[in-house]
Amino acid sequence: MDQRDLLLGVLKLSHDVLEGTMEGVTSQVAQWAPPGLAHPIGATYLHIVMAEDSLVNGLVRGIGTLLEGSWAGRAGASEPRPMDSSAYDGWTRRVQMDVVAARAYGAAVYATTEAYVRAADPAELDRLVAEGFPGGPMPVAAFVANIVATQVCHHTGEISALKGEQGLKGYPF
Amino acid sequence: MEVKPIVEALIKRNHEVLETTIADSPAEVLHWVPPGIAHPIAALYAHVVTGEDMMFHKVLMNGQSPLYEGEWATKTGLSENREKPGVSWDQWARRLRMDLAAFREYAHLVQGKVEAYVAAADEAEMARMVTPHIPGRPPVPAAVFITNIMCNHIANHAGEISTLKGLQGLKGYPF
Repeated sequence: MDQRDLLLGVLKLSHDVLEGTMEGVTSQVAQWAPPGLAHPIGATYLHIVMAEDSLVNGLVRGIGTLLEGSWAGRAGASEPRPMDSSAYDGWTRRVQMDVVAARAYGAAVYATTEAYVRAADPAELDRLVAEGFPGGPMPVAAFVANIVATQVCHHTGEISALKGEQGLKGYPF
Repeated sequence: MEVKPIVEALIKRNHEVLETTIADSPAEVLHWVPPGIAHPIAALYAHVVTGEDMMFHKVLMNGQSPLYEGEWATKTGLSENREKPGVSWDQWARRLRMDLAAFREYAHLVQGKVEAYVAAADEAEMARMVTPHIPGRPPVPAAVFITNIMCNHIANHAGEISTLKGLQGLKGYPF
């Protein structure tokens, strides 16, 4: 076992649990606006997959996101995610998600992330990235584990709780 | 390349995010019973920390008893112990009461023990095959058990806790 094997396992499990948790999420369930400050499932899912696309393809690889390229206009979001963080909460309450399209985009993002890690050599995993991040710069391997995979797991927990609020089973296990 | 730095950073980050998400949540926030089938924050926090105690001692420490069954049995700040693995914890989750200050003392001890174990481990220990506590799961290297089972478990439930705070109008994660 080396770093690459470990990272691939962490990523694959994170993606699998997220998609298992999304099973049974209909448009109605995705759009349900919870009370308080919590965000709807639709916005949370879009945030996860768009963030992974941006973090891996944009920041780490520097090749541009799928959302800006082959998936432009096909990611299942009724409007783009704002870059201005002060506009984020409003977007989460307005955005409508096409569940099937968004999950297809998610699958494409996961595939590119996993393919990138599978092909990465030790020098690539050791390359420093994310200078502007808290705790950065850090090696690609640490960034993929601590930021990319961990944000998937955290938000999966949110989606599970939001399904539970609606009387639905969350995680697939 | 060594896997230990990844394991060490991941478990530490998960502890930090969990602890800063719980922060100093007041008792009424911890015990608020959400609608539907979601669980209160106190039960989630108790589940995730006692789960880590159990996984660490039973799986990584070769069948040792968790602290909550031993020297900490009466000191965790929980009104009752967690349900056994495999038993539904829906009713327990709604009954449980937590003394947060006492429980966090226990939580920090558990988290410290796990971090100290990883800090002291060499690559051979990280590659040692261990058998997960979940029936039917095949043996995996200790590093995989920690990152895929323990860290995922902590992160998933930290996400739930963040949402349950948000549902009560409070900020969840610290970031």
